[in-house]
Amino acid sequence: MGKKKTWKNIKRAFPLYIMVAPGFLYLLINNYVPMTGIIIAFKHLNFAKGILHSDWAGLSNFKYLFKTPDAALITRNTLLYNFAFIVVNTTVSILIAILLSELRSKTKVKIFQSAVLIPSLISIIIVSYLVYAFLSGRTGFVNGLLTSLGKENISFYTESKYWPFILIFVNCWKGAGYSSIIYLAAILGIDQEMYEAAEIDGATRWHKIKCITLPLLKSTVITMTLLSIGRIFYSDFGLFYQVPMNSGALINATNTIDTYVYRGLIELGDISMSSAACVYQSLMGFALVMIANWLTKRYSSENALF
Amino acid sequence: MRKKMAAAVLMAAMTASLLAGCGDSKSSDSTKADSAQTTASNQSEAGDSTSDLKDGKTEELLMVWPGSNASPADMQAVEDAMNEIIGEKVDAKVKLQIIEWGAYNDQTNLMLSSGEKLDMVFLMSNIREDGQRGQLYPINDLVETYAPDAYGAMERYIEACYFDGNLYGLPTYRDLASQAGFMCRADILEELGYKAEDIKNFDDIEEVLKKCQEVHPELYPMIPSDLNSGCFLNYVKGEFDVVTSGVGVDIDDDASDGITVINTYDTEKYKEMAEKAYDWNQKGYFMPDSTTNTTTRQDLFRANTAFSYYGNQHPGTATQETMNSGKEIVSIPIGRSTISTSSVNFCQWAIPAQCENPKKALAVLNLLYSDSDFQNLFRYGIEGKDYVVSDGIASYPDGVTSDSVGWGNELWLCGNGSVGYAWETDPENVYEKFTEYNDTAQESPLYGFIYDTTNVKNEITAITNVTDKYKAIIENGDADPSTTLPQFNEELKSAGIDNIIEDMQKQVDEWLANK
Repeated sequence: MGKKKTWKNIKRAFPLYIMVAPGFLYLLINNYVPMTGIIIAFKHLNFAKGILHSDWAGLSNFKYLFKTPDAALITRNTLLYNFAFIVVNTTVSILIAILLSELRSKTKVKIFQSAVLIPSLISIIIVSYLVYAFLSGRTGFVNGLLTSLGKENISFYTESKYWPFILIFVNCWKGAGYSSIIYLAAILGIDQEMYEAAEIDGATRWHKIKCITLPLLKSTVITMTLLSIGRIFYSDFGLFYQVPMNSGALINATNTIDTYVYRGLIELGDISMSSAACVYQSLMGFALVMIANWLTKRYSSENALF
Repeated sequence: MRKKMAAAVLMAAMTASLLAGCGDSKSSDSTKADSAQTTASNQSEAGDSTSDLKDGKTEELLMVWPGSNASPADMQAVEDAMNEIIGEKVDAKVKLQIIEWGAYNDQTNLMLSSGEKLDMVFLMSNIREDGQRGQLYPINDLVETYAPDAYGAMERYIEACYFDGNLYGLPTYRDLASQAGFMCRADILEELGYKAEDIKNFDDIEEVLKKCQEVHPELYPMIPSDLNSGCFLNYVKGEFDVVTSGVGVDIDDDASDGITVINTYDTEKYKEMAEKAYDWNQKGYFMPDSTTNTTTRQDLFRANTAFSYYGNQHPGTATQETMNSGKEIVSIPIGRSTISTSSVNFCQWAIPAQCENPKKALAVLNLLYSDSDFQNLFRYGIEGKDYVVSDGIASYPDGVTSDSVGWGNELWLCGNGSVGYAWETDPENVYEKFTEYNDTAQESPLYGFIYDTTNVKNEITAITNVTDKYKAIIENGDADPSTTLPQFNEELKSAGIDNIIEDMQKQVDEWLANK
């Protein structure tokens, strides 16, 4: 392909390039220019000297993430929770999506759709008080129930063993509705003729779900999972800090990278160190997305993201 | 599309100017250094400070402090009246801005970091961090010339506001010392047959709590003083001067033969507290679930569920607590009253680094520390409208309440409140009592020492996480200290508390040598 031809191509598509320009500029300014801020993570930031003139710190801002005896614990918590969230949320939201798609009445679909969506619109602070209303030691609903059944009360906020389940449940309750809508859209996009053909062949509802809906959802599931893997080193701060009411006794079960950084730096307010945490999380997320995408490409290339 | 493009270009320009702005401030830093070098010439100019202040250019100065209402009704009237007083002495005008409590630290941090206009700020965070980052203007050379009265009034305490040889703030007149005490409901104490004077130590308190438990089983005998903490949060207050992360000194450490920096969690006194907390918790004196309690102590009193708490105590505590909880509270001092760097410098008026005319800003602050009209205006508002005075005591006019009043600031952020009127609910002779309370407090051996945390930031983050895990539980007696306390100290060690001790010891020795 000659140089001339490329130039001709560009010339022909010039109006299209102009149309792309604003979006591209937006992306550049909003998503790429701020990335220069990454250098803050490698500086001893001093406001009087400014970002560029502050002294270089090398990798020393990153040290605190690894130099602690809790490093393994917080990394484990972050990864395992996120892994559980991906599995549980995906399963539950596909289930909800399929159930919704099986409804015939439009009004009912709308009602249920709104109902499952509402939790994701509630602020995490309010969610934490809803959980507190259930689990509180003195006035909680669950302990009230246990008392009336003649059983011993459980002090939820001092027993860490219950919290993995509570957090996974709360996250699912809050998040599944939202992603179910994406799956529902994917299901509604499936060609109805396939279902009709299957019906003629005598397929039951179960068969239709198993052999048509689920296989056709595969690519959506993979895309969604790849996207969440990118954020696997992040954790929902509100969920891990507010929902357990920042209770000290639960820290082994609830401390993640984000809460660790928050607890540690709320006293210091060191911007360089918190930037370092973000850079670390982004890099790990980036690496994991690349790996996951590479694996996907190997085993089912048509579903890979890029 | 054009709009979008224009917006994009604008944003690019703003980003560029942001970076440029950050670079720029370096030059202002160098002028600062210059001004430090020319101290001598500054001093010689001291005589004609008025010419600097009355230079004919009316500068607008932004003054920021926290409050519960960001736009009180009489804000404009107060601002105008303040400007009238200022106009006589300084060619400047103040612009007032109140930021609500919840957002205050974040917002001011942002203002300090972004370098936007800000000339006088009430700082509630430690000056150590802001000073370390170069966000504050060092006022050492200017303060005696442009704010002589403020300096004079606060001279005894000003030592605590130095960091790295630079003065960064003016402490406010308030309870500058700190002391722990037993606060309880006066009516119930009387019903139980005790007098406040009889209660002198923890054995006496235990006796009262035991009786309370028998007579009033519906009340929690003791509740935590703060959210997310144990009932004995303040038990060892007055025994140690904790500088950071639990590292500090024994208050009785004699400075003449050197000072020993210790881990205050690994001491006999802390252990004694932990054992007592466990014992009292077992006996049911503490409110259950204290450490995750989300109701403030005032609300617990108001709801008739609590008898007492152990917390901060100063001359105005009883009236303040009575006002906030709707129950008559009596306050009984138990611990020693001590004065430390952090008890003084955790709130102060400061000049941010971006202030363009620190001389005028200081002169305005000086009024807040010396001019009684200015002080009354700032604290109470417009006389006759927001407050009335009789016999030198200010109070609300008829029909005005704390909810409907158009202006009002708390004593402890008003510069030097003692030059103004006392408030009707203050104890009698409140300013003499405050002054006596401050002057009789025992000085910490580390008073005036500010620790530079630069070398131990990693350790501090790790330790804060460990402390969050154990401190409240131990101070509330939720776990047996014979196993939890050693575990706590073990984890503190592996988080690097020994490095902090070593580093602080080095700085303390240096500080002592230069003292």
